[in-house]
Amino acid sequence: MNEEKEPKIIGFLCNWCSYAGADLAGTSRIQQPPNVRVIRVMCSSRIKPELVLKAFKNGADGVLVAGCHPGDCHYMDGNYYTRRRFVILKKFLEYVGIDPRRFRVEWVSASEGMKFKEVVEGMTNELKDLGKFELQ
Amino acid sequence: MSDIEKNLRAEAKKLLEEKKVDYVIGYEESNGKVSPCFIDNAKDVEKLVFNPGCVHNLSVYLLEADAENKVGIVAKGCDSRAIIELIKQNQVIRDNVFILGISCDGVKDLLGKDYDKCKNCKYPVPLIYDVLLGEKKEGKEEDYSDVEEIESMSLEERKKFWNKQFEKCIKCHACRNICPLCYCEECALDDKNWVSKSHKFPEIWMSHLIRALHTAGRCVSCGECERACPVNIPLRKLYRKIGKDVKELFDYEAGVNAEDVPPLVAFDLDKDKEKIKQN
Ligand code: SF4
Ligand code: SF4
Ligand code: SF4
Ligand code: FES
Repeated sequence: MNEEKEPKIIGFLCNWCSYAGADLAGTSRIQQPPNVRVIRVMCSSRIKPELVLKAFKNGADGVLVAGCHPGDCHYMDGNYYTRRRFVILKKFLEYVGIDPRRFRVEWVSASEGMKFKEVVEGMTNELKDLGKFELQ
Repeated sequence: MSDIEKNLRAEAKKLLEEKKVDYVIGYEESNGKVSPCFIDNAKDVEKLVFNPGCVHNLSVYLLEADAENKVGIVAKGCDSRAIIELIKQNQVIRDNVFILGISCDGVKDLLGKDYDKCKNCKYPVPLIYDVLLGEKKEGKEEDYSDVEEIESMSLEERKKFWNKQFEKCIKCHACRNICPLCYCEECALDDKNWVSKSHKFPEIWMSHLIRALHTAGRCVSCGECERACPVNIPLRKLYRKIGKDVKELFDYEAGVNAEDVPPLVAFDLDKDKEKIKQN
């Protein structure tokens, strides 16, 4: 893969659903772009906005936050906070001029290996169109 | 001397004489310049003034009061919202403050120009007070045209606009230090795991975004950050975007009711599902 042209995506995945979903995609040998660097967190609500900003600051072209579907969070209501927190972040990034397609929040369950692949594929393609992320 | 000023002095005098408060935080004037003052003796109340130079949001000084202090404080409409927020966030005990609320006609800068916050002031009458000085009056309609103006620019334009602003920043932290709602003992902006001390890109971008996001659901639009900024970064406009979204999405406004649950530690299953389109 051509390192220069390939978008780098930092993916924060919750342990109980989305990480398991990504794992399933792997063990089921579903072909998907290798662009996501995964960081496993216990719950999507663990992710502070700072983490997302830091990924961008350090050169990510896109950031993906993925957690259990609303209603399915392992800790009951963690992702209800995630949902609120990141809709604010996303709109704010847009306000300071960052293409909203660079930041995604997705709900992926442990059984949705296919969905994980589609998310990664979709995001990778969008980021290819957008080109490298330049902060300045 | 205006009636407000006269009544203010009388109220402050009473509070100090009856030992209801240890001191009163208000405004004084010297050489035509208004500044905050702290009065702990009834015979000094004649120093107190109230006029269009009284722009400062005095509630930031409540953070410096000791837990056993009883404090009297002069508060305009916007200031009162910060006090409400501080009570909500357990930074101030309601019974420890005596709020001398003032129904406000707006404040002006040294050149006599209205501050932006006054041009679209929704709450000129304090939303919390122990006595109210001046007549109640109507506030203005909700107006986010300042934010909308930026929203209507293209992505590229917005990026240019804000980056140019961030570039000016000298990282003096005046905006944080003057903000009544930046009370964290350990500030993320001092944590080198998040940002270095650099005032250059990309660090400065990071600092601004962190602080902005930390104002979510608590910024009361008092404009003090913007006033304190030595390089005139329109910070209020930056943070009001978040205030606007919080209002639209969660039907929440900071500093209105001390009983409200802050919006990012709350959720509303039905409404959130309907209103929050994630991507
Ligand atoms: S962020 Fe600025 S406008 Fe908002 S409460 Fe703090 S000082 Fe006031
Ligand atoms: S910038 Fe954030 S961490 Fe720092 S004092 Fe303000 S709210 Fe607290
Ligand atoms: S007051 Fe202005 S210059 Fe100082 S840190 Fe804040 S934004 Fe930067
Ligand atoms: S555990 Fe998956 S979102 Fe909370």
